Amino acid sequence: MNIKKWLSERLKSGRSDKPSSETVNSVPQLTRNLRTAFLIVSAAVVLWAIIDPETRTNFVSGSGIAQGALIAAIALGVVLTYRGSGIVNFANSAVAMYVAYFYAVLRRDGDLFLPPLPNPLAPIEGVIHLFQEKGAWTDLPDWPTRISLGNEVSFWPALLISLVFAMLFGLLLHLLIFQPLRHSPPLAKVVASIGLFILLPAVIIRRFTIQPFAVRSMPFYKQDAAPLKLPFGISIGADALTIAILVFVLTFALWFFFQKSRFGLSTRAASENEKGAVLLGFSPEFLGAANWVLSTLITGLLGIFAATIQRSVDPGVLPALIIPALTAALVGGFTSFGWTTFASLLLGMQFGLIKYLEINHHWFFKSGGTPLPGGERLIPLLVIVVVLYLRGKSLPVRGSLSAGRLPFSPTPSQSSRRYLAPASIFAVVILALFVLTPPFRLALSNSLVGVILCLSIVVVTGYVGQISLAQMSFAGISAFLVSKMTVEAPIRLPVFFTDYHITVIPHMPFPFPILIGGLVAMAVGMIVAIPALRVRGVNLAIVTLAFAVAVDRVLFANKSINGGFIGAKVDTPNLIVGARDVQYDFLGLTAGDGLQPNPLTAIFCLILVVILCYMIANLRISATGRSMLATRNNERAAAAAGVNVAGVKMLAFAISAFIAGVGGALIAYRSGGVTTDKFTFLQSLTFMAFAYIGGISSVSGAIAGGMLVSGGIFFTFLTNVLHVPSEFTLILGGLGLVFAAIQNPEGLSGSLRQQKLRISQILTARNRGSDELVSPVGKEVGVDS
Amino acid sequence: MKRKQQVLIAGLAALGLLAGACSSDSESSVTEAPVVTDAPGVTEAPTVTEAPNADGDLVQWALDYTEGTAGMASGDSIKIGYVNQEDYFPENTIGINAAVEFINNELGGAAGRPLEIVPCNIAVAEDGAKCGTEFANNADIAVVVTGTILVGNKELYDALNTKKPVIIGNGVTADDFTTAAGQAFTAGSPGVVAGMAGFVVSQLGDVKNVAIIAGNNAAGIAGADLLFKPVIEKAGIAYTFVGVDDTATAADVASAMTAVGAESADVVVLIVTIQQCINVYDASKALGIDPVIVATGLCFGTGMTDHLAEAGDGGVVPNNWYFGGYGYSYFNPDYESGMQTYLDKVQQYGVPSPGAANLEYTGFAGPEFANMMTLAKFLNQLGPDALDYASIDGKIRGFKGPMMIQAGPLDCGKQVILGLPIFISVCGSQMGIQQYKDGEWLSIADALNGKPIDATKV
Repeated sequence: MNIKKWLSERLKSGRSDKPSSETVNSVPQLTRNLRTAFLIVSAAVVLWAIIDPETRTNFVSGSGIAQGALIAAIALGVVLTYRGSGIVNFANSAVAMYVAYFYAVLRRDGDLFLPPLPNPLAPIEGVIHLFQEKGAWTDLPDWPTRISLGNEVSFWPALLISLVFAMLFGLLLHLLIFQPLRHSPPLAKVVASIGLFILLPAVIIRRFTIQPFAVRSMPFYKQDAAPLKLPFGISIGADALTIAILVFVLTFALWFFFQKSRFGLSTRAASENEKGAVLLGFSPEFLGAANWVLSTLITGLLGIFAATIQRSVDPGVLPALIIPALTAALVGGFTSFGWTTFASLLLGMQFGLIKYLEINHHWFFKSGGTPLPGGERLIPLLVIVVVLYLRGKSLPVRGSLSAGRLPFSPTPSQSSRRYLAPASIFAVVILALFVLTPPFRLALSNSLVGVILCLSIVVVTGYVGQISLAQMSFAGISAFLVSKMTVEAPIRLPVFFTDYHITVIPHMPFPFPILIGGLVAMAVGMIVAIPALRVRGVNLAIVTLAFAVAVDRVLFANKSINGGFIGAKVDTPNLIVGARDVQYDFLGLTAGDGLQPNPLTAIFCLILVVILCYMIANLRISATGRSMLATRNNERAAAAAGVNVAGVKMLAFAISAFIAGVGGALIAYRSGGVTTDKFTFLQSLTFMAFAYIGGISSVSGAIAGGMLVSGGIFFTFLTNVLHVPSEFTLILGGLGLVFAAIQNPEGLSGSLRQQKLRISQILTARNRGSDELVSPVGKEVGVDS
Repeated sequence: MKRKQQVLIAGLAALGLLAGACSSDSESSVTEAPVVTDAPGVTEAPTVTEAPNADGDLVQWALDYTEGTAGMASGDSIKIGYVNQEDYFPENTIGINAAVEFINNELGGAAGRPLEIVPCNIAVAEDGAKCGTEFANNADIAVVVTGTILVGNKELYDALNTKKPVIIGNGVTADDFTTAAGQAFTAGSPGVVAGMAGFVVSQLGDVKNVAIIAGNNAAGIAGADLLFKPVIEKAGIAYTFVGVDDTATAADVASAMTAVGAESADVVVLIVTIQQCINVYDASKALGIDPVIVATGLCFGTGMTDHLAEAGDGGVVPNNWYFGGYGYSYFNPDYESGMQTYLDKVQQYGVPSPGAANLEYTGFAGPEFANMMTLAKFLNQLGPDALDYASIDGKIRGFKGPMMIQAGPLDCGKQVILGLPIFISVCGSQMGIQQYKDGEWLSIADALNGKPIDATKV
């Protein structure tokens, strides 16, 4: 029996070995029953929408099909990448956007655009500037931003060059980023792909601004052609129909390819059992690389088509498709191309239906008498939660241990957690407030808030291993609540599906709203934790991300929450208003310099930071903390040892959301108002990035992460001392995130800790007269995972 | 481990290099050297309704407006803090830089001294407080002018409030129109949206039902709810409303348009970003419908013009669309409002944004140019010895107009739009409606035909 036949039979019979990793196991195939149930429900919805003439126009529409095709275009790439390398690529839509830009620029201007590249002359230039007067600076050559190939490039050469670029891009991503992460935990892979998701649009914004970039139409379309009329009254443009057909053809081709070809079968084999595939002579590295290339090729091709039917591309529209695309891929179990495309189609088509029902039926998704903004975003969230919850298990199946080692979570020493650390932080920050210039004083205040938000991630992700990408949603819920509690009385919360409002809380004096905000965020966190009881790893990341998007688009965009034109003001006590040019004398010393910002704002933040750090450091060494680490390490083993895994997860989400809520309340008080931009799902991703770079599994990591946040100490140093413009914040953040995920998963604090241990070991070894050194990690105190 | 550390160090070094590179990379480009073109960036040149005036006349208009003296400025510069969200609205900077060059080179500067822009870019929300404190703490900054900012506005204004005089350029968020820190010399989006509602009710014929498409964000929804709906409700006109995300695709927008009944609505009103304007245009074509569309000025600009060219339709903006603006037209430039002077000088001194092939002189560039000219006027009136906060702030708040390329008299802080006394930083109340029809811009109700709409009276 040849290998191909054997593999085919093996895969068909479903007798392949048990998956050996959490990653593989946490994304199991839909059971036959659930698929049937999903099919029945979907069929019922489709049938109802088609039979009812009122809904038919809005559900079975050309625009719905086109949108479904766009979602499928992204989702197919996600599935392909996952099958080949076990990585859920959050950045797939960003890759599609990047390739589309590459094509559009080539086609219109005949140029190959280049990303911002490190300039080796920059340090020399910096030194020269030190000796020159401002304005008379020497300007050494920079990298070009584009390479010109002449005038505009016609369609086929442009398409060909762009697809070659897409393939090379895929290969580079695999070799530089994802292959080194092959045996890393899901967290590292998620973090790296989030880094890319942040990095690629940031590069595009630097090169082209956010404005839409016009894309040439394809030569085989009549530009002024009327839309085509299909059965069921569907009206669809020729270009949209082309991409829909292309998606269906690719879906079938991929299915056929993975069912029948030796390459496809070996990829399936490797994804199910990598060791087995190696024994059969397949190279997982080669398969991974080939699938990445194939994935970016298809993603790039569909991205180009998607941009062409949009006739423009910008850094926002295509990347935003990742949420429904992940939803569709999830329905397809990250393995089934057919189910993924089917789910994409339904998700695309539901948009028009939901909008129609919102607008035309009083019983559907209303707030204050008007359609609830973003109601259609609730559907993907609902689908994700239901599918994952039904498919998930309260404990991972036997043998599905976490692949790779999560970042080390050190045990703080007794002296440091009791006295030294809090006193040191206090002393350093207070001292800093006396000597720092205003920009750094403001940065310190930003960093302290950042520490709190990073700390919330440390608890849920660092201690318990649950990837939460909704931390800023918890923070936002608390912040808006603080606004309602301090300015508006009574609080009015819209009750969805109805037009009623309820009175909850009267005026609340400072600082109680911070506590209440934290507690409400905690309650919401516990609700979000419910799926976490049965879902883990990257799937949980998707659930929380969908939650963050839904909160962002539904709750925060709601005018009864954000205050509309009036805004969501916060009555900040005068003592801590940031925009006050005051100074304080204390024991003969003067804090502040009579300029903004008010040093007391930072001191207030500092008090909260020290209290929370102290609590979390002590949590780490408590029995609860040990249970958390045990759960993170191996849920089955923890359960066998008597740990209430569900309770631990719930507690971690509760504590984490509470801390995020306190951070959100602090942001509200500092700003004197709440705006939605600070609490978007992108902000959640960004904070996850900074927490990871700082060190996601320790309090010191949270402190390091806080220093790195936007507007914090690190970026203020970059902008004020090194004169790096602040628009590079996201590029550096994204790049740092990818780099940290690959090279330094324990973050800055872990790196510093290792250096410290190494030095102490060198000194110890010298004292003993021996040059022999032991691994620093092996000597660390604490429970490793 | 050793190798890992080496890689780490190498990586950090690379980051450092990148950081260095970043600081200069954005400044220049080998293949995209800034080019000052005589031709406007859009595909169609403005249709001049009257014979263009000679350059001397245009400069004279500017001298009269600013009360300046012909010639180059000299002496120590007057520093103007300038805050803008450059990645999103680079055209503000085109307008302000062109104005400063014009003022310094031909109008004798302001108060006899050259103006100098001290920029501060908003890239992330935290930059609002950063820029605010930086300027508030800098005694050399005489005035702060803002461009268009989506994030960090409140923190910016809080830091500047009572510390620096503030001219709010092209505000779009609620904070821009409700802050006590400064004044906007335009009617702003409250005036424009309310004016559009007034236009739909009273000047667009027999309108029975309106479909409103607004951005699914605080400003979009509040604009539709507070400034548009009350007017048409009062007039007994039925309406449907749908919010679309700023990141919606054309297909999403097509679905939203179907759901909101755009096909059967008498008028479709757009309160969305330019990307969504483009999507509405594409969606209309995909759906095979041709509704009457009334949009804000956000819907025109190079992005739309390029898009129409790629779609093979041509034109500056979609045919037959109505646009709400500040009362004058880039495309029908008149002499009296200063529009001809603006167009001439922005093309002379303007520099395309990094990464842009053409000079974007429409959109927010014009009002920002006018703001700087008006500031020069105040400084000339005050003279070099009275450039303190109280004097300049008093001039700003007391300005009654006429304002360059802006319709109507101003009454800063006292505009009550639709009975809402909340827009305390809005000075203007008049707006205009123009229509693009068969390649020509028509004055429907604007300052050019003497029929601007007053938002306080709709």
